[in-house]
Amino acid sequence: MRANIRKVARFFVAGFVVIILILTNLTVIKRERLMASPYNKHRLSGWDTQSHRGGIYDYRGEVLAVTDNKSRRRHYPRGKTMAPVLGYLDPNIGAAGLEARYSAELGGWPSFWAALGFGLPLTPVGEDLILTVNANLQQLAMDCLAGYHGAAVVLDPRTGAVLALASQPSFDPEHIAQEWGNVYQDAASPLLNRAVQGLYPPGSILKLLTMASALSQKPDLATRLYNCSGTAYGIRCSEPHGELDLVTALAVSCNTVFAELGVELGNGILAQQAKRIWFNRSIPFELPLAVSLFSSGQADDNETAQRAIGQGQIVVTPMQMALLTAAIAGEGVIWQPYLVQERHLAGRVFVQTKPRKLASFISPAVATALTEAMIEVSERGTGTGMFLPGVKVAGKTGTAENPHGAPHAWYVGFAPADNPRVVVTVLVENAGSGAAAALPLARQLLGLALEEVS
Amino acid sequence: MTQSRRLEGSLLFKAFILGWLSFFLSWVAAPVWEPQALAYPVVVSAALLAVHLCLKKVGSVADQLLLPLTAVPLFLSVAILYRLERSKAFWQVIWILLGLAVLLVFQFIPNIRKWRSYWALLLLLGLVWLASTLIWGVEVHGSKVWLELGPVRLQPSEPAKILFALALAGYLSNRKELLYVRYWRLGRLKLPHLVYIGPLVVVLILTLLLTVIQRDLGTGLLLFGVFICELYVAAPRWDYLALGLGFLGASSIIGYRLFHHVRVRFDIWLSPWEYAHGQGYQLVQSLLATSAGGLFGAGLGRGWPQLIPAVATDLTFVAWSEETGLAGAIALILVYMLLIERGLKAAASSDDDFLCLAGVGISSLFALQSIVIIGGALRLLPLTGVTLPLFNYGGSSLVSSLAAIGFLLRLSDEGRPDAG
Repeated sequence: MRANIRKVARFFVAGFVVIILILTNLTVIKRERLMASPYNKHRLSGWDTQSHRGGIYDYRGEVLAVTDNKSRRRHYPRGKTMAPVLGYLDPNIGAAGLEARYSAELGGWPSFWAALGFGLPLTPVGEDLILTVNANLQQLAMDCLAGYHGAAVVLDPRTGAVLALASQPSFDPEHIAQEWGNVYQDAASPLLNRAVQGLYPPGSILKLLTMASALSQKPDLATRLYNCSGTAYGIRCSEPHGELDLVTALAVSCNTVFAELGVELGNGILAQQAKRIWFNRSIPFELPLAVSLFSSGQADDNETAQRAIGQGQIVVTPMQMALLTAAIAGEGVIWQPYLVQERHLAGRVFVQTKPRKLASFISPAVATALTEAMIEVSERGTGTGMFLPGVKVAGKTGTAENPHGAPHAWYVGFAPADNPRVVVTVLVENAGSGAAAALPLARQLLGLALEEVS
Repeated sequence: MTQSRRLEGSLLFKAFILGWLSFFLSWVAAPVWEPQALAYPVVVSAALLAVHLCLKKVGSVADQLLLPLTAVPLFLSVAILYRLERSKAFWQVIWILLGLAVLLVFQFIPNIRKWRSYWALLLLLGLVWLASTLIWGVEVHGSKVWLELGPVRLQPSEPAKILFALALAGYLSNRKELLYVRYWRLGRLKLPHLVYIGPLVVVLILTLLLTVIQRDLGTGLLLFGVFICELYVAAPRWDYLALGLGFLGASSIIGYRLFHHVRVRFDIWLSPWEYAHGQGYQLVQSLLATSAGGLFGAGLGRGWPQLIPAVATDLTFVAWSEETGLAGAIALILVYMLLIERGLKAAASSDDDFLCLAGVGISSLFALQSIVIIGGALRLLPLTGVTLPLFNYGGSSLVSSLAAIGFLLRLSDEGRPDAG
């Protein structure tokens, strides 16, 4: 019987070894990710009481969040404006936004220190965060959207740096505790960060993806002529456009041509191209970014046609559309978006973020062709309202039908078209046409962004 | 004929230092000034010392590592409970005293080999204990597994598990040759002869049914595990093992189909984050707390384990893990592994089949219980309300576990007359 006992003992040892491996995985490998979980917010704010929390600054050093020396209260000088980026922090409610994501670092627990599991902060004063965000641009974005439900994202297509990330309605992080009851129950969901968590039908701005698929995979489809009779696959145009090429079709946002193009490409090619811009995948970002979905289900011709014009089973976040546009502006390269430029410890640069290539979306040649078509949108198409003195803008409007009322207005674009420095994405919920409701806001944003960003 | 037992004494002394230090840390971190609480570890030490001296006095040659290895989780549980819920630490000390008294009683029982003949009585006792809650039980958290005796609440499944392990050892030691030699052939599979295994299976099914009715799945799982372990040691046949595992699989599927609460447990286990706001809250918070510990933990009294529901009664290990980190958690697991190893060793070196199987049963119970609850807290297994022996808060569990340790001590004493 002794040999049997030994076997039983081995089985138990195996069980304990598995437990130790799981423990190691949780405490070392997965720790950083788990600690950022929204379900960990009470622990995070608890940790916060043990040191003097670091401040958060915009790219040129303007104070966005700072903890008072005496009262230990957190101040947010820009109030509601920065809420979509910073989130909030309260010992009873918890934390969200960058306050949650960088809670350990702000509290003086840099990740290597935290990974060692020390119960006390490394430094009595936490790290300071220097963001990529431009506070003036953010202010303008929030002001433009005030009164609407919507979102705006401004990116630098050369790096992925986020210059502004706006979502309205918003909340005041400084008084979140007093207003929590209202904010939490408000039907307008001010706590929802629409730029990264809102999922919307993309409407016509998705034609950029359809066109990118054609240019990359079936170039002959992209160069031939089409004939718009006003209706195809149950999809209508406001008027029959007659004979036209794809560039003009994008400029006037012709639905039937893109429906036909989509069907000729087939759902498979569209889905494949969507995958290349990271649809159905979680894109690494410092704020919780919802996954944009291009339905994996089979599609008949009608559904494929709907998808090709952005009305089928597709939902996107404004950030996702910003990345798509940035990839076109940036010669086909997708840069990982980021908000924190530098982390300072005791006044010195401690960590500096290097731009990271996520993947390649399209070839530089295809990107150039798409840019030309998007310039055409601004010069002769639906986006003629986008006029900036002395600067060529490449853009695309979108008007997304949805079951909740008036269409969502979209605009995506970048400037200068020949050497892009800024990418703008604007979404206004239920505001009507993209050209009328989203484009004017985008124009203001682009105007200021070009002045501010060199 | 006194024995020196110097190893036990010196190891116990080291456990005392560990216990006092950890309690002191917990005490310092407490928000209130309660100097009388400093007596807790002293009282526990005194009781352990008394047990040690008694063992010396009666000339026991029992394993000298068992008592110190038992002392470590006892001390640490008082320390962590003091930090979680101070009143529970007080009661835990009371239960420890009671449990150590029971442990000591076992050392004066003259001939425990004879218990082999009383297996039916032990089994009956266990079943009566289990069934008693059906009639007099009170419901807590959806499980009807408690008996109320005046101010004290008992969980009869705790002693029942140990009685069951002993009864099984008695039964199997009387029939192990028969189980091994006589069988039915069913194709390539060799099935045990119904005459020999029949009563056992009936009793097992009866017991499992009881735990299902009482919604105490953890206990059911443990009893089944102990059954498999003892059967394997007595009659090491892969056929039986396969049969047992098949039975386990089938009953899990049936349980999943039939019972809503089983389904809920499984669903939470498979995707806890989907239920993180509701029924998966405890598991998610347990994972987060474990993870928060990092390598060396937040320090006793400096973590936030109180965010986990029922942390003191179910997930004390997770609190320990958050506050002492991976290092502390592994250290505690090693203590349990050593304790189980000593139990199995005592079983293996015993010259009596019954004692050997009883040792295996009790050690397996400890091992399975530890794996099931720690594994449950870490999502290796579905989370059940099983206690971590000697560490969780709870009188029934603690007294029963200490009684089981008492039996192991006595077993290693009686089974090893040559040692000294």
